Amino acid sequence: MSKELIIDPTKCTACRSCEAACSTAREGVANPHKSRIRMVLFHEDYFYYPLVCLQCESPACAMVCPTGALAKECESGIVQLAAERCVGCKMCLVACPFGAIRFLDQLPAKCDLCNGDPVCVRFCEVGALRYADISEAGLPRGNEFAYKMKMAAQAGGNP
Amino acid sequence: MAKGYVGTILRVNLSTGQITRQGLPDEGTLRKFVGGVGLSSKLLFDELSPGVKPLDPDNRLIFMTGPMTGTTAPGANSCVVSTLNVHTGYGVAAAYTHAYLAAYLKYAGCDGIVFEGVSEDPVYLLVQDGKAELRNAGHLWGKDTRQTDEALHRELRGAECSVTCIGPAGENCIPGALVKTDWHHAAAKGGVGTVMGFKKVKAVVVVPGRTGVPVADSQEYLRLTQEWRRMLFPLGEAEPIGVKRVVFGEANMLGRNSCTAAKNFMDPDFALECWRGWHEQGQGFKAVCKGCFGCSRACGFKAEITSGPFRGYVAKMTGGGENIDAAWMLGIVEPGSVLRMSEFYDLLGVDSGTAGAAMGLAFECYEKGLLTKKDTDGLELTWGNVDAAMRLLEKLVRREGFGAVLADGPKIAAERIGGDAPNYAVHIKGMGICLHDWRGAWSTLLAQIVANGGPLWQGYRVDLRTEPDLGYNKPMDPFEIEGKAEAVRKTSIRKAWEDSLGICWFDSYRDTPGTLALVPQALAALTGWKDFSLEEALAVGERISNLQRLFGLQRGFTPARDLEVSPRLLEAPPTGKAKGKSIAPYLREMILEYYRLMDWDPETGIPRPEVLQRLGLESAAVSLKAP
Repeated sequence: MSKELIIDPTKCTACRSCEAACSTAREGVANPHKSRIRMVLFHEDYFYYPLVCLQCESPACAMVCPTGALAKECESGIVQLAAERCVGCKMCLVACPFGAIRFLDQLPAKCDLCNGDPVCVRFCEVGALRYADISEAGLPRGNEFAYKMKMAAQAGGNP
Repeated sequence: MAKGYVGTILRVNLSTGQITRQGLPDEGTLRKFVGGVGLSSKLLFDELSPGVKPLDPDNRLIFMTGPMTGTTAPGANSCVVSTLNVHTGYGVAAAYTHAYLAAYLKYAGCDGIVFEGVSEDPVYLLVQDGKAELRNAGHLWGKDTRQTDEALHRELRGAECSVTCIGPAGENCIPGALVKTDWHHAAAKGGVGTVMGFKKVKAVVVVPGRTGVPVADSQEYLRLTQEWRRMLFPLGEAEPIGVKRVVFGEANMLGRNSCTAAKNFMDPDFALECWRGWHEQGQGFKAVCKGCFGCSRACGFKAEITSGPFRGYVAKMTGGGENIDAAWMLGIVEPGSVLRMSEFYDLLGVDSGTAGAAMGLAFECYEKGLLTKKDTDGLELTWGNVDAAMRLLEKLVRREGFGAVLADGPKIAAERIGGDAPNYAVHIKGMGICLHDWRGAWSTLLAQIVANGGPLWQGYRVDLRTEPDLGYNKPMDPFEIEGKAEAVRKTSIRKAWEDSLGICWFDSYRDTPGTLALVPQALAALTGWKDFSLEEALAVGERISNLQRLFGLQRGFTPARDLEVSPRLLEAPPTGKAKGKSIAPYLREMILEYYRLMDWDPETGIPRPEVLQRLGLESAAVSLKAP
């Protein structure tokens, strides 16, 4: 069993506290620009997406890293940066299909799940970000759907 | 320099077009006034000479954040908008707006903005990282708040930004004009939009930049703010305020306690009927909530109306109910019409408490025959006539025809209508109140009456909810005289302190115990003022309250003004839970009690020298003696 950062953008209200928390924890300053998680905001459509490293099973960033500075840890599943090996070539930035890597001070500032206790999750009360067992990730949304079905059935109609 | 601040105040001289970046006051002053309403009151006090009138170029318009703005504190999004109160001419207007303005201002490198002078042509201020410029706003003049917001977003080509603007009411200098932020939120009290319009500033647009808010002890601050948030929102289960559950819910606490304004305060029971229809049909509206920076409550919402004459219209609203009361004030009950009307106040950019009360007065006068169709330019002001109400509001914000009679607020409108009209108006010191029927909750009624800047949220009710941190573990009897003044004192000092932090009061004052003691610790961790205590925090609140009092006294406030309460608010409601109960016989004694507790002279209203000395305000009082 491994825990993953699970994103549910439909629950997000764009409070941006994940960014403030991440940057405060890692950089000592509340600043979305220095956060490892980044909110993409579509205010007009009331849709907001927290963009963050997904700790891919086959991480493109690690594959292109010429020095092995980025590598996926077997046990934790975290794609970790060994800063001392990084040469600053920025290939990880080019390779990541999600644009989840941001360079700060010449180094890729990427999410490392705060080594197992992601601070962003602690500040996301609405549950748009959860840190949970991946095998159960879909359950809350499934339960909500089932609940709606139940209500519809009780109301005597087809949903 | 203390952490938590970004260190810059933008000073915009509209007469010369010059923009300068200034440092914040010294650290000692910051620690005394913190930020938000504390710092804005301090700046107003220092910069405004007593002879200045609200609509003089020399009046200031201040936007101020606080140290916690933009951080992980809950509701870290509050921007106070301060100026000399347009309605009274002597008090501090302090109105709060939310959404993203405050946080983005700090991320753009500014703790606040001070506007001075007056521009010749309409302008808007664009603040971006490291720079600010005044741009022509001629093409925006005349647009409502939503159109302005949309046009500015187009102009910035979709860049992430926060737009704060005025509507036609502000442009026309209507007292009670508001300032609207990001469609959903507004700073509405005291005529802040009136002054903004007078200065010809159509909007303030802020693009968040690369500046961050430094935190002195980041791990401790995260720990404390997390604990604080946990008191307010359970992790993973926090529901946004819940448009369906709360906004369109069953009659809320105010509704159940006959505190919903309805039919110009003529019939509190009528409000229950309003709530019923609102709940039943509102459940069918397609609603989505909208959050602000730093808050899980997400009290804003948009709703598509699915029934009635406005079917298909999408209204964008805040969760606070004052606008909705302003539709019920006019007897409008059809839920789609209520929503449309409520939003209309915001679109035209006028405070629902002031314009709503003026309109409610007109509707009542029409019913009682004081006004006829001849007076109202042919409009039939019958209860619930939403078309007439909308047309009247448009006339009001443009001072057209009969609208001009109502444009200067309920008190002046009543004088113009004449006859018995002054008996029907709902106002305190000529200004519209925070629009609920506070005759059913006397702690709030008293707080609105004695508030320094006219009826603003200063202090809050302990008779409908609890406030365990201040010793109110169960709601007080709304009509009990004993202890009301003390409750107003305690809650207003707490609120002034918390309003200095740059956080929304929806996230601080809740019934939850524990926040009072925690917040000063959080400020200590944020700023690096390690020994900042609860005692010091409450002294900040008391200091702000006293400074605002001195500000008023310098400009002609006398204790007699605190008795300028319209007869309608003093009479006993004919129906509802407050039926037969009037605060009038006790009011004078309650106000005097409040003065005694604040250590203010009951005759002159001047704070006693010992208080000023304790709060370090002696120098401010010196200027009081030299007129």
